[in-house]
Amino acid sequence: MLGGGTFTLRELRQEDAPSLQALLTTDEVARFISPPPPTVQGFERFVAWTDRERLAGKYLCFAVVPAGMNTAVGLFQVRSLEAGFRTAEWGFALGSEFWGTSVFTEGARLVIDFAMEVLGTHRLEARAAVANGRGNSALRKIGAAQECVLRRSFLRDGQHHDQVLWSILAEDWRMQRLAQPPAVH
Amino acid sequence: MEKMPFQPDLDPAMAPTPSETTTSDWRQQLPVLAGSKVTLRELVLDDAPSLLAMLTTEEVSRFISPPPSTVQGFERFITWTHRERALGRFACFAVVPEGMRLAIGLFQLRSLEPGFASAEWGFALGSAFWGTGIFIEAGRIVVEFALETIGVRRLEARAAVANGRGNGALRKLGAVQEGVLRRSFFKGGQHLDQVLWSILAEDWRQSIAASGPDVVH
Repeated sequence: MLGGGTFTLRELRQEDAPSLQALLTTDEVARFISPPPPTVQGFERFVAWTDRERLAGKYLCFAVVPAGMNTAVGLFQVRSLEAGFRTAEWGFALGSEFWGTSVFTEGARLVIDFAMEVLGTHRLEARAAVANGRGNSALRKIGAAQECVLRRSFLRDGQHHDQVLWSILAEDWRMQRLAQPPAVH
Repeated sequence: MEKMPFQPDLDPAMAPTPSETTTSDWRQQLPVLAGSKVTLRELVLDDAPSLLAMLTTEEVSRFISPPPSTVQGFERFITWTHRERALGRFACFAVVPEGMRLAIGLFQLRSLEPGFASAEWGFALGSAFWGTGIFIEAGRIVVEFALETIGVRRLEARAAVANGRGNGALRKLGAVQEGVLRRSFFKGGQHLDQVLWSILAEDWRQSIAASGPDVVH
C-alpha cells in the first residue's frame, strides 16, 4: 500500500469491480484505451487476472482510492517488457471527475518510484494515442520524454491510430526527484 | 498505455476476431518459402549444431540477446519455437541457402498484441552469408509472409544504434525509422540505445506494386 496525501494506492479487490465499471466505461475515459470490460463480472475477471499476473511476476496493478472512499476510482498498472521488469510499460485510467486533481500526478510519482526503486525498472515506457492530448500532457508533465510516434500502432473501433511513445529513465528520474521537494508522503 | 489496462484476451467475447486474410495452417506447420538464393522453412532439431556454430561468434552475437551456448540449448530453443508457433503468437523461420540442407540463420516474428495485428521481427545470419543478398531476399519473403499470411498490419524491428549493418539492412528493405529508444537494450552489462523501425502493410503493398512482382514468389 502506498499513501499519497489525498488518496491511497493499494491492490485491486473484487469489491472494486462495480466502481471501476461505473467510472472507466464512460465515453470520455474509454475513448483512448482498449475497450474496458462492459460488465461488473468482466471487471471481476479482470481483477482476478491482475492477481494471477502479479503472482507470475510480470505485471501489477494499483487501485487508486481517494481519502474517505473505500473503492477504486482508477488504476495504474505496470507490465514487464523484458524478464524482471528492467524495461517496463505503465498505463493508467482514472474516473473523469478526478481528472485535473493532484491524484494523477501524485499517484503517478508513487508508481514510478515504486517501479524504479522496488521493481528495479531502468526504463519505463508509456504509449498514448497522438489524439489523446490530455494523456500526452500528463506524461510530459510528469517528466517523460517523447521518443517517437508509432505509426498505426493502436487499433480502436476498427481504426488504426498513431501513438506517442514516452519513456522515463531511472537515472533521469532520480535526478529530477533530487531537484524537487517530495510531493508525496 | 492504450493497450492497457485491459487485456482483450481476458474475455473471449472481447477477443479480436482474426482478420479474413489470416490462415490458421501456419500454426500447425510453417510453409516452405523458396526464393532464388534461399529457402525458408520450419526449424528442425538437426539445425541446432549449425546454428550454434553460425550464431555464437562474436560478430554475430554482438548486437543480439545472448544466444544459447550449447547444441542442447539450441535444441531447447527450437522446441520452444514450435510450441510458441502452435499457440499462434510466434513464428521462427530457418534460413537455408540454395544447395545447403541446414539453417545458417533465422528470422523470428513475435506477436505484440492478441491476434498478431502488430508484430516485431528479428533476424540473425551467420557472418559468412553477410553481403550475399541472402538477407534481403529472405527478409522480403518473411515480411510478405507476416503481412499477407499472418495478417500483420504493423511490423516493428529494433536494432542497436551502433549496429550499422542491421540498421542498413532494415532501411534497404523499406522500413521507416520512427525514433530512438533510449537505453532500451541491455547487453554485456550496458544499456544501449536502439532504433525503432516499422513497416506498415499498406506501404509495403504500394512499394511492391511500384517495384513489380519480381522480388518474391
